Amino acid sequence: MAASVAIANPIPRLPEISGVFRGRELTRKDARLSSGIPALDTIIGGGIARGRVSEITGHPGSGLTSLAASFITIATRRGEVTAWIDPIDAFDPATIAAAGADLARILWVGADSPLIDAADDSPRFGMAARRRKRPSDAAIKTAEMILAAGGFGLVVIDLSARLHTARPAPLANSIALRLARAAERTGAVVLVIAANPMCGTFAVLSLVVGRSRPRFSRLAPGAPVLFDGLEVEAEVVRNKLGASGNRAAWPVLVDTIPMPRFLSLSDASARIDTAPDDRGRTPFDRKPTIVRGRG
Amino acid sequence: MIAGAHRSIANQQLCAAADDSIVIDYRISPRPLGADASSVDSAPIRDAAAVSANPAVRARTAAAGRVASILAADFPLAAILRLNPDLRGRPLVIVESPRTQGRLDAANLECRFVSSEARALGVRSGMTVARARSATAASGGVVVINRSHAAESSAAEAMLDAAWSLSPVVEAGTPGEVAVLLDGLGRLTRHARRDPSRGNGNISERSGGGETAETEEKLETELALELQRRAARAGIEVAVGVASGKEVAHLAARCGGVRVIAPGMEASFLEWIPLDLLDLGAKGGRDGAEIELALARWGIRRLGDLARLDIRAVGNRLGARAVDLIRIARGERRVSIAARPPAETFTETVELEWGVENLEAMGFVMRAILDRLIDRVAMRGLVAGDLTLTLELADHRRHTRRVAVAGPTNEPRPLLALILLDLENSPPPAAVEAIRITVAPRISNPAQSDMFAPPRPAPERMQTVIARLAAMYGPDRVGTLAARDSYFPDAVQIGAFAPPAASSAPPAPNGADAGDAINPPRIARLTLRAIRPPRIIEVMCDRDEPRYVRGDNLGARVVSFAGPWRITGEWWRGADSNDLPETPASAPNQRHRGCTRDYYDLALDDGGVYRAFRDLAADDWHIDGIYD
Repeated sequence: MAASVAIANPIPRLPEISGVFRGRELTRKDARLSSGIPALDTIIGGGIARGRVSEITGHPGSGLTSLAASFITIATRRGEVTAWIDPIDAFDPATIAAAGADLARILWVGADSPLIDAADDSPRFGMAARRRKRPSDAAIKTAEMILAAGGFGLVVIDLSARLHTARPAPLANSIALRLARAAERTGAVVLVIAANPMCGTFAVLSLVVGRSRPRFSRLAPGAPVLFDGLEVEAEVVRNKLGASGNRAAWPVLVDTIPMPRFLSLSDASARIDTAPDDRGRTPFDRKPTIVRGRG
Repeated sequence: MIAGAHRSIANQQLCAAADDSIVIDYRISPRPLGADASSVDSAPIRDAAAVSANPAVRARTAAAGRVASILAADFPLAAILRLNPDLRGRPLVIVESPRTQGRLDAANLECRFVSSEARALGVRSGMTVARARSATAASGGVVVINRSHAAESSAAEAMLDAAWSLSPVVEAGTPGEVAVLLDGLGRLTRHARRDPSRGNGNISERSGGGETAETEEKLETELALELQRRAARAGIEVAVGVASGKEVAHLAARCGGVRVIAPGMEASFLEWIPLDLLDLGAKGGRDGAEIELALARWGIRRLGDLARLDIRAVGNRLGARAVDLIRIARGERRVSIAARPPAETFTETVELEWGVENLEAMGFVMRAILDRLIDRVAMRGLVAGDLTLTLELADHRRHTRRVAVAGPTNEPRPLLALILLDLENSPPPAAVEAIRITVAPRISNPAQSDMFAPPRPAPERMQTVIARLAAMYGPDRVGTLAARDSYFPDAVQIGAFAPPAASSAPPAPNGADAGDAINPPRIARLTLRAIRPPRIIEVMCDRDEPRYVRGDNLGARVVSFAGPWRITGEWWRGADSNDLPETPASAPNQRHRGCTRDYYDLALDDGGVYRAFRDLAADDWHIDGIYD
């Protein structure tokens, strides 16, 4: 019931005068960046905290990138300058822009673990044996450099592994601590997306995105099948600034243009019917599911 | 006979001039020595008389304003010391050898320029190097360096930059000499103070109407000191003279240090200046040498003596150049500065004594070059942008490359890293004997924070970070990543990161529920996690419908799919297309040079929905992203 109230009266959207109260804003624990998704904002207390490190974990394909894109959309549309650190070159500008983000305000860094010189004993214009940094180390170093410049509102660090490869090891405590301190100094939101928890105790919020359910439909019998989107489920497993254990599910759509009519097309994996109900509403038109946890 | 009489009078006057205590009338006959009066061109004389008679000309010459002359003594030495600051304080001589590379076989070469330290040890200009070495053997020898015209050119440009950093009206004289117009520069000095009469905190220049001459002189002294400091920052020790007119300012600079000649005091300053400071023999050519000889014969050794000569008589005898000299000596000649437009690029060149084949050694040399360049760029209030690196190679070839700088910065470290990264990718084919770096400067973009907008990074700091990141990952790995205008959905391009001002409206996204800053979109949009480059997979089909997918670390059943959607295009791209996967379709002998793809959305039983395409020409499958 409380959840439905929260959905009916979403977070008050008042214009923020962030420049005026910036000094105070940095110290306020309730200064948050909304995702623009009411169900998600409800379970995380209105948004992710500024000046802190938050992380979203899940498998590739579960909706991680869409979640991060929601946050960066809100930040860029507020006029904030943001950064996306992308060691594995997975940033897709077309769909991120379609989500509403202003690409001109996103500094993209393909932090693909630069080569580090071991020694230079080659006689001529060559470099000797070299080794590579771990991708996560390079990404964190990059994030620290960006945060040190100041003025960035959101820094997304994509530490997801390449598709179907081994998961990266969690960050060392010292590195995660450095990142948390850099975020605190500048008041920026640092959002880490990864397949598994990376920042340990230094993340103020840990959101786990479960297996998503794909939705397909067709407009008419014999018409081509369309991929509509995913049904994303997330759970707050750790929240230092609010309740944990909350869960929510919401649809993430390929295209927000409403379809005139859906025909039933069962999903082979989830077996969820996407047919419209008696009122002609599809599951995507219905209210998202929110389950209250402890806290 | 008449000419002989004139000569005897002149000799008498020369003898008399040897005794300074005797006041002599220097007016000499208007007839030139050894010539008939009718053969003399009297036009210069008439011009000179007209200058003094015409009030308009007087006003124009007075409007030439106060001029500072910056002078680097022994400029070739100063240029070498600028490149090698560790040689300061050591005895140094410069020779001119045709051989620029390798060890100098300098024993028989002549010392052209001698530093003051070497001069103190007895070395003189014109000595052979062997003699100079023997003269200084007891004190540890002398450093012999070949003259470098490239270094002199760079030093001359650095002096000009130091001058341009203070005044927009600058004239480049002979190498090592720059004239700067000081009029209107009072606001730049620390004398700009708050005017209590205005009361509202306005900054006003003290050089108002009722200002005393003492304050004016103080102001000019400060400007001269500032010029000297800026030249020192550019690596050159200079003397600065300030006066009303280029020539007098130059003579004041020749006296060394900082010397300001107050308006109206030119004559008293010039009174005791030796005639040698005019360098008539060196600068005046043949006429100058003849005039110098004639004046020496007349016993004229100081400008004060020259000023007292009758201008018409000297002009008739020695010509227009002598008239100019007298006007200089009287402090009357005021030539306006021929201003040169500020340079649009900054160049530094270093000639190496030995060819360098090692990247580390080149980095060491280039770091010093970049330090000097960035000092010059920063002095002009600019930031360093794209670089052009020109290498003179041992095989007499020239190797030029352009290094793009993603974020203009005045930090040498990221710029050096960019150059080294570029050199490492394509090293020069031979040893490097000279390095020239040219910087295309950009205007720094200071930003005023908006009280009602979210904070933004300071432009300079942001550009510095971008430059450092570009140095770490490459210029094409930092910036604004955007979709390229292409038929294919995976085509992207990188651009410079320049976030717009917060007040400007963000672009309207596709879709009906776009929302705005206050009311964000209510429906979350699905994004794609790209896989670059697209990964080749094997797809098992049943009646042209994908059923099973197998690939590198991937093997799953297709539980549902959408598609196909065919995309055909970019047939104009040939086999050298970089953004399309290499396929037999792009081979020149194929009829189909473009790319035709059937796109699918494949939901696999591993839980992911992949975007896959089938290249019809190559008949292979790829996945280029996963919906995430």
